[in-house]
Amino acid sequence: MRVDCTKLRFLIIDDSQFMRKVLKALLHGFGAREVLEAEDGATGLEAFMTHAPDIVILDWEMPILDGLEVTRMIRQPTTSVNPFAPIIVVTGHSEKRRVTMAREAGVNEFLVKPISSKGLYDRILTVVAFPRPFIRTKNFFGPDRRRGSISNYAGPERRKGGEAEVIKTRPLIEKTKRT
Amino acid sequence: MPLPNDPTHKPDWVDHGTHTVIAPVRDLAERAMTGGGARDVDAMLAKAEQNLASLKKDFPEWMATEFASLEEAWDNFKGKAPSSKALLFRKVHDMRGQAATLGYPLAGRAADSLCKLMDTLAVVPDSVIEAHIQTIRVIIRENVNVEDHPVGVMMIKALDKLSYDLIQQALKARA
Repeated sequence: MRVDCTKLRFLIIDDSQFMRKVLKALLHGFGAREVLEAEDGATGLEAFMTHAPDIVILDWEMPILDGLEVTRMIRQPTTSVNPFAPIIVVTGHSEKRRVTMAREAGVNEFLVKPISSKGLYDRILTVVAFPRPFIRTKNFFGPDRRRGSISNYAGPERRKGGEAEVIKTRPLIEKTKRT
Repeated sequence: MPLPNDPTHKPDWVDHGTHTVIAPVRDLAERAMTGGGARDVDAMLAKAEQNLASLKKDFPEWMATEFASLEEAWDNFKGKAPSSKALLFRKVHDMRGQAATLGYPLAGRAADSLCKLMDTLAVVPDSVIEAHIQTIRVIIRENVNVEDHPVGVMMIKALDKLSYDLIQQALKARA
């Protein structure tokens, strides 16, 4: 199984024209035909609302709106064209604190530069083939931040109901058999 | 709790009062997952790497442009132009991330050291910023594009130690 990138529309939001070129070269190598670009957060958000890309790849540090601000706006359930759109942050930040901040904003995947073709493809594969459930709380809307189960967590925002629930959906393999 | 206002998508969801769990959206998987083994993926990755390699001849010029932009931000910061600290941090962050991709891993490490300092300390002494910028300048000017260049490594180690000591001092002062 692999991702057929010819079927996907990508939006790259990065203030560096060089990184946009690098990302575009990699995506074209994966077969992507529709790759849109924006040079800052505000332009990127406008492009997102206009073109409704399937996957957003964005930098963290940008002028006007930074990557996390763009993410929060994309995740607005009532105003966004697609609040479920997969978001991959590509950044120089590598600190754990930053990864947590990105997840809190609603980012799906985190890729630390330097970029490699495998690193980028793996993130695309993850968001396409293994999407996580979305969680909506009073102050969060985004992909489930639980990657593992921490049974002894007793913080104030622990979800009531305890166990992480599983909603049954048809496994991908069945869909593959069907086609 | 109402569902997100997305007319094209009606996901399965479960309301738990404090939170709603919405089943994974699988439309991309249905549309874009296709057959093929590891060999197909390898071929795709190879094509992507080939595309990247075709850009490599431009990397020195790109790095020079990025560094000029970093230097300009540094000059503005020294002149205390409004919002200049945020701009300088952004440029250091860009250098931290891009340098290794563009073939200058040691310049990326110098920028990484400065990024950590700016992220942790309220005020980074100008002389320390200058030492980092100077190191990046030399690495680019001398076209040091390997990770194990002996002089380059020595310079980076000195910066790392400087950053480490300053961060430890700041953390101690906060405690």
